[in-house]
Amino acid sequence: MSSFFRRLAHLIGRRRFEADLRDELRFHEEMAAEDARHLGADATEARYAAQRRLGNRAQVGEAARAVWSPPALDHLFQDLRYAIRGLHRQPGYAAAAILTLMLAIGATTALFSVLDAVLLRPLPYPGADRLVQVWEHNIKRDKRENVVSPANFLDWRDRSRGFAEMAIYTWSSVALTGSSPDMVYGKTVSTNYFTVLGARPMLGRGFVPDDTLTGAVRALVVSHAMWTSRFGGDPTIIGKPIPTREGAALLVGVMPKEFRATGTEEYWEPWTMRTELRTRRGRYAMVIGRLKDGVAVEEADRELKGVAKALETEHTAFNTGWTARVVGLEQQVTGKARPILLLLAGAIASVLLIACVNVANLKLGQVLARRTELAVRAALGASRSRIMRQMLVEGLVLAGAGGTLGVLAAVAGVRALVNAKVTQIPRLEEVGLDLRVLGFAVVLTALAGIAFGLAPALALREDALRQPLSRRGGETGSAPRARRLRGVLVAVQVALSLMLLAGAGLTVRSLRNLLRVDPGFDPRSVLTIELDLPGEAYARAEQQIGFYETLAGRVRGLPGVVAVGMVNFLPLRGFTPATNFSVVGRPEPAPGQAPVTQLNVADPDYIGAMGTPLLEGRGLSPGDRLDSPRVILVNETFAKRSFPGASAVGQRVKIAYAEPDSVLTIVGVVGDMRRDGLDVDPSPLAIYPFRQFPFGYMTLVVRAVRNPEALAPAVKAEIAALDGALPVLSAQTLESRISTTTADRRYPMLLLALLAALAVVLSAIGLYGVLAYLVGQRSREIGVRRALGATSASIARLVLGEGLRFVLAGVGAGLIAALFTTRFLDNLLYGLSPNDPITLALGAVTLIAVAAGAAWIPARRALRVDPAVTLREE
Amino acid sequence: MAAPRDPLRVELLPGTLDLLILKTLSIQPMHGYGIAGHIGRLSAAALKVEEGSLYPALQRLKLKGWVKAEWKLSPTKRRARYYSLTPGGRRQLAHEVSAFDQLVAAVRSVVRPA
Repeated sequence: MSSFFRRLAHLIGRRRFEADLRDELRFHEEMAAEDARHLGADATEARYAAQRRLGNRAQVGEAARAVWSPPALDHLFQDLRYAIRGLHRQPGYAAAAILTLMLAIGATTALFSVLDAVLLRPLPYPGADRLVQVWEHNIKRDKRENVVSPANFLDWRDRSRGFAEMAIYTWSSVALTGSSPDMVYGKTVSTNYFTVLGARPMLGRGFVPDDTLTGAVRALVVSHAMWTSRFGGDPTIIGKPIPTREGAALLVGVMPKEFRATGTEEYWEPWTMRTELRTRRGRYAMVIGRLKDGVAVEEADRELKGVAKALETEHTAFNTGWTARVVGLEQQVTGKARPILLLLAGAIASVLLIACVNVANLKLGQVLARRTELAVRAALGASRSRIMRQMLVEGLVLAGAGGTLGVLAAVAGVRALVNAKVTQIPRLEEVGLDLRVLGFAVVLTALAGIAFGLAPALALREDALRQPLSRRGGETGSAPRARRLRGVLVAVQVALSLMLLAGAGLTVRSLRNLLRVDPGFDPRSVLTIELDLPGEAYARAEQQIGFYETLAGRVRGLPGVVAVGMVNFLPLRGFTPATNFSVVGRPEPAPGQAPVTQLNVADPDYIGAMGTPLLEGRGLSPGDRLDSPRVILVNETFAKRSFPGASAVGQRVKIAYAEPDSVLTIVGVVGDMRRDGLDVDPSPLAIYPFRQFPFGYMTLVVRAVRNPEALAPAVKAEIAALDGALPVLSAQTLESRISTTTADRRYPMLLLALLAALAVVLSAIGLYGVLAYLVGQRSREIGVRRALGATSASIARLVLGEGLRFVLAGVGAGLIAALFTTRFLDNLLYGLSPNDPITLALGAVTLIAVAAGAAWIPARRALRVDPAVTLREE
Repeated sequence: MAAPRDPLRVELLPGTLDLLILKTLSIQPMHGYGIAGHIGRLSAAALKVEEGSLYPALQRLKLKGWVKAEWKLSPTKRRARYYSLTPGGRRQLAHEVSAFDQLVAAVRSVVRPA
């Protein structure tokens, strides 16, 4: 142990040690010489003898030093010193290599941080692998993730045995009153919800059965975010009443910060499982469950499907065609993002590979240029392994420097990615540069370092070390094998880049296709405002109609407003109710076979304000009132499917919705709107007149002359003037609502495009490096050619041809590889084949153009070669 | 050079160099040249200590904490590096002497059975 400290002290006092040793050995020599003189030898003879006796003084010193520091460590320090000195001497090469690494490691670390947070990090629930999401599955409509009927949930819960527990929840909201009225969204959950997730409040308590007793005060558990933002993180708030529009509620608990809810909810309240829920009426809830130990997800799925089969025969009308579906919660949360993220991971790996090839290539060029030096060192006794180790250390120094800068770049990159906020990628808010990500970067760096050591190893054959001494280094035609290797490396880079470019090009073009889709309405210059009238204050239909029509009238009078309409569920809003209908005069369809339509409630001006055409018949009119015959509008798809070859106008239908027994007469047909996504074909839609089927939740559609956002304050002021306690749920332009629906495509597209750009830049650097080296090596040959009368064009052809040969080979290989790899993009593409020839051609042309640009700089230098100068140098 | 090889000169047993140095230093502090000379004289030139092994051995003993070194003036008024035993070195010497005695006795009993 203490010898360790003596060793350490030795390291620190190293200079002193060397001086001591030198003086000591000199003293020894002098004493020996003196003694020899005493014995009669002459002075010179004596000194020689003494020196001989002492042998190689350096050798003795080396042996004495070796006692103190193990030689391997000593060599390592030496190699490090050499490496740093070497990089100093070649700032251009070092800068290119470090820059390449910084870009590559920075980008890959940043992207890995995203992957890590979104894909790799498990759900933060204890025993998350036992948690499942349970859906209803409509086989005929292929709706695999349908929300659940509470009645079916109760039967699943009571009849299954594979579940330790099952919880149900649905969406809810609470209007907080007091100093700042605010609508807060949360979930109504069965009291065992937190237990199922294995979570506990950090303050206060979760729910108990007593919370659901009749007459109990409404109990609320709030998220950590809401606790800090609305209640200032005050721990004494627990157990205190909070004013809401429906009366005081009791804040009973606060969830910890790291509790990740199943959605974006800010609070939870208990759901009373009353007996009425046993009546099968609608599907509107979500179900999670915790499996018993040893029960696989597939087993649970099989069991619940069995229960669902029984329920189908017991409740034919409600359940025909419906079954249950159990999915692991983990898979549920990341399932859709997984293929995209894996794709991105592949792209990241490719970029990193390109970067490694780049630095290896640079390194190889440098080793070739230093062959003479290395050969001299080999001749002086440096072992091959020692030289190899030094190469490796140099690689590691480069990788270390690049890695450090890369991590810094990654910090900035992560911030940029999170701030890009164009996304609906789950858990993105959790992305941060954590230690594991840093570890990933370090491993990458080390691997890159090893890779750089290996590439020169390929070039350093035995003879390669000796050769330069027999022939003069830098001669023409030197090391064709190494040159070919470098060319192959360039080709590999080009091929990888082309793959990435093809992928990025496909996603970009696909998004363009998507944005060009006609949604069936004109989203420009439209402001939309969501409102929800509280049931207590606006219990009667007249009150709801009165409020909304007054509001619409007032907004219509604002300057800059072109038209104002109202609808309950906007297209592309993510949710539209749908139900069965039947055509009057046709035989009743078998259970499960009835046609389905989506439903809207709108006022007469809605269609016009959206810019959707009326194709046939009339629109809704103010005359369609509570006391007039029930009418309805349908969209084109509805009309074509239900009344092919005939006019829908005048036909009568019954819809299992608000008034299931009313006969509704179709008075008009409107154009289709894309409601479920720009890439989803329209479904049948029926539009009820607002005056006949008033709705508390409505969205104002305000078409402006221009600049719709500027209207928002004025519209809000009108709302406040009518009802000061009414919160505005959201005020957003229609265009921004649409862009949210394309976010899940835009984010991967953005990342892929960034990666592709990076790949192209790196490949260009690589190609430039190789060609610049070749021109340098062949400057004498070029000089000779010029002296013999070669034209500039033929010189340019010589240099460019050399580089472009490898580029073309890479492009060819890349095209073939792209044909195989782009098919993984298939699900992400819209209106485009993964092998779209235009995209591939564009990618190839782009790469060749960039490569030609990169090759042009060294080619120009070749043209400026002065034959007189180069020949004199020989 | 063609110096005749001394017929009496014997190879040192491995590990015995440390013992010889420690023993020499137990008499008085001494510099490297003195240590080599002392061992040569006492063994009547039968044991020849090479400088190539002497100085590394001294460093080894220093690393183990058995000897310490300081610069002093020699009787001939030259700056010389004197080595002396530490208390640890004394203990080590006692230990090595008894180990050596046992070894010699054992070797003798094999080579010259009574």
